[in-house]
Amino acid sequence: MSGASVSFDRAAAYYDETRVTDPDALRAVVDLLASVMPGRGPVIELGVGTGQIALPLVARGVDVTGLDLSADMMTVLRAKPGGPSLPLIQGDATRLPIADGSLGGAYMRWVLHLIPDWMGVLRELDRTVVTGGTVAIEPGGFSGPFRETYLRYREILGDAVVAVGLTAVDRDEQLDEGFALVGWALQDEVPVMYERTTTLQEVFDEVPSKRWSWTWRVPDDELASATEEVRAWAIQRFGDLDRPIPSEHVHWRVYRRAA
Amino acid sequence: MSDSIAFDRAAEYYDATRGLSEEGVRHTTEALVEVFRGAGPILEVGVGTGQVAVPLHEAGGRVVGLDLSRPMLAKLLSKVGGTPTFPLIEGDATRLPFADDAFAGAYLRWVLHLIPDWRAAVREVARVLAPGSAFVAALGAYGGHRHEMQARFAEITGISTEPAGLAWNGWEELDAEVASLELQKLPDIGFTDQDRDNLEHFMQAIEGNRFSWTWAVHNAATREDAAAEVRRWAEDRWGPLGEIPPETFDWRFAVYRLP
Repeated sequence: MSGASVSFDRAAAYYDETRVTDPDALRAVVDLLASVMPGRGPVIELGVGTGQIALPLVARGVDVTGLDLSADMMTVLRAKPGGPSLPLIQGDATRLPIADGSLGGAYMRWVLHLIPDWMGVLRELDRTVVTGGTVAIEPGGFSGPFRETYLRYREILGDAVVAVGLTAVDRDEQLDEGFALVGWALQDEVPVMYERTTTLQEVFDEVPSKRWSWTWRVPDDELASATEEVRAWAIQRFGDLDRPIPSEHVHWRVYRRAA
Repeated sequence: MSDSIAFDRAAEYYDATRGLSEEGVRHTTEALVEVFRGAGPILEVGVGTGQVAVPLHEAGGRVVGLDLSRPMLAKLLSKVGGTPTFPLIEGDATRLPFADDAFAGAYLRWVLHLIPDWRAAVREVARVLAPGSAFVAALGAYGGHRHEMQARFAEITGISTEPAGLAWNGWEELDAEVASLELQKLPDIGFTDQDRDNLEHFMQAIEGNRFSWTWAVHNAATREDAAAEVRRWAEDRWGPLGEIPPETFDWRFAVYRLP
């Protein structure tokens, strides 16, 4: 695979408003990462963004270095309390500027769907993470009614809404296969519940403003007309669009580099 | 690719041919700890085998090391037992892969002479430093007998031993460049160190083509003849080189602070 990874420069100003992690979920994620990272050597977050995870993780004593393609996202990070304490690399996860075997571990959330050569990222982690090191990934993706809704958009809009990297469905399986190719084993799957009170109505209200990266390659007018079509379908399928949809567990997948 | 000189070829013998005495290392570490007091990551440009960074890290400094040479970084890692201790970044000083304001301090030692566009490297350091942080630089000029032997080598070959980048003693040029970036010059760090080695070994390193200032003499026979002539000349003047009492060196680190 080739092609450019997707930069989040355009999302820097609103990212934290639109990707909210509730405090309980964030605590669970930080607990998980603090416990699985081997505690010997620096840990890198790929796609560190605005530091939603990295900052609390540093506060827990983990030696985190952040990498992001977007300088604008990291500017938001630096303005937060504790922001100046992180080394921040502006770079591409498919070509890590990191010495062989010099990382204790790595983690990332909601990143690999943005990278066409996501398999190249796994190879880079295999090169840079020390034997016995850990990589933890929450690939993101859609579930439940959101997944069905996304699939309706995909039927209408086609490839323009298909992620350039890991696709929006079956991410876990793709990841496991990818890590198997570099000789790493899945060690653990840790469920985390992100409490969101999203409704489908909110989704349809937000889609035209293009807050989500899956909409960025669609022309505005096509997105608006597709939204009308999907909304009509959703009313048939789900009834009341204002009904809160219960959150589901997502899984952090933990891989270990064998000797 | 960079025009800067990578030390790939020197990874195996670097530590045998360059370095301070144990006491000199201690002086350097204490001085840097004092300058960089406070939280936040510290960048070393040209970290090499970690002669400065490893003791600084052990003294509590939050070092991030960058080098153009992958073999030098591998050597550093093997010196610390193969277990990573701080981030090691592969990169070019003239295009640092870091976000603006990413560091609370930066230093470099015996590096700027290897970088033709050393002014760009200084600008990059200023860019990645946060307001108020310190920048420390040491240049690589010899003193005493070493300086005379180097000058004699240049005389014999007719090929300058002046470096590709900043002059060995280019302190004033460095001050001027840094001043143009509006950094404030603070008092130098200075201390006297006793030679950890003798001139016989220095002579052997010249004969072994182990210093970057002999690399410009591409013809091996020319280089070897010149080295033999330097040896005859030096022994005529000073007697057996292994018996010359250890010299002392006045080391100097320029210190600057961002506004």
